[in-house]
Amino acid sequence: MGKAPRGTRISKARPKTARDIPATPGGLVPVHTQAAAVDGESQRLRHRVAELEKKLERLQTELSDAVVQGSVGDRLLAQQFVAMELQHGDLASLYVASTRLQATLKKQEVLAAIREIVINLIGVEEMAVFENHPRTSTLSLIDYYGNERANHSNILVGQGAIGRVALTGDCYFHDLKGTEREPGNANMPTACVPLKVDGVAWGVIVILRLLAQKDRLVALDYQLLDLLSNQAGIALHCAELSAERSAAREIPA
Amino acid sequence: MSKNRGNKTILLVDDSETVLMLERMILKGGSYELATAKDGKEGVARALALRPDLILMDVIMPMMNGFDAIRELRRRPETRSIPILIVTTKGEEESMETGYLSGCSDYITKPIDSLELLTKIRSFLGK
Repeated sequence: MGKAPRGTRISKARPKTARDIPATPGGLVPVHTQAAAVDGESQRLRHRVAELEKKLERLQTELSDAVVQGSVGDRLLAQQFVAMELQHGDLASLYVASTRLQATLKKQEVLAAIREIVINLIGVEEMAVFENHPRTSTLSLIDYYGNERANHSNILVGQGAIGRVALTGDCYFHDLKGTEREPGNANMPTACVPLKVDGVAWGVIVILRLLAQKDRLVALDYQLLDLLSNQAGIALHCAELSAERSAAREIPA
Repeated sequence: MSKNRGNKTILLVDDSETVLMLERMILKGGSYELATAKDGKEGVARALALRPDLILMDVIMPMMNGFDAIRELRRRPETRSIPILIVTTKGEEESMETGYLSGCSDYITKPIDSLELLTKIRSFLGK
């Protein structure tokens, strides 16, 4: 993959999530415990969205009453309403992403959900997902969207921006305007996000190019990528476990 | 979908469950009746059956794309005057031109900005 571009490594402190669960004496967190924590996060998001919806409804009524009573000058109320609608929209995006990741136990459908979230909710023109193979210390391409001519070969763990994210588990962001890069150039990704299971990168989501009308990642995008980092890897791992269990059941005794 | 008297009906047409889910969540607080379709062909059929007050139409979809669906809806007297907003990934002028030529009323670009979506819908349907 060649030399990695200069960029920013970001390892952010964040609220409690699946990866913050205390490990067992053996050092590993059971996947079902992580999955339950992910479900808990999703429920909390749902609850916050519902609370905001109630507040919005109340504010809308107050705003309408203010208009009817002629106190149109109540700018504070209008500002509150707009701020709350913005917050509601952001929370809705996070809730939708979380729900979509948990909606299936089929690997291809989880990958499709990741693709839809990245393309539609973040606004991406070109992206890839790599799977980590610890035995060979390589990453292989398992999903891709964008320029069909792009050629992404296997990457060694530790090599370039993508390989280093797989090795360290830290996100990588290189927030340049999308049009400044060549399409399909994995040497110049906009973002690389580890898909974590048990604190180890199961794989890496790579954003290669943002939509033309979007020149940088915004706060909500970082929150969505953080959510993907903590939930998508577990969803993919659970899908693999489910497939293995189904296959084992099919083998006659 | 049971039509509630007085509430405006919005038809959401998109092949992405993620986008449909997000649009439903953004709009459900606005007392709208919401209906969905997964491609342009189903969108045309549902629009003819429901006669919604507004249609939110994706562009790239299987079976029939958004531009063709809009042309079809504009040919039919029953749906000719329904406001149609296209939701496009392309911000370029060319894409907008194609949209307006096919008969769309306005557009928003992806990723969907909840405030922009609500503002444009309110401008067509009222508060």
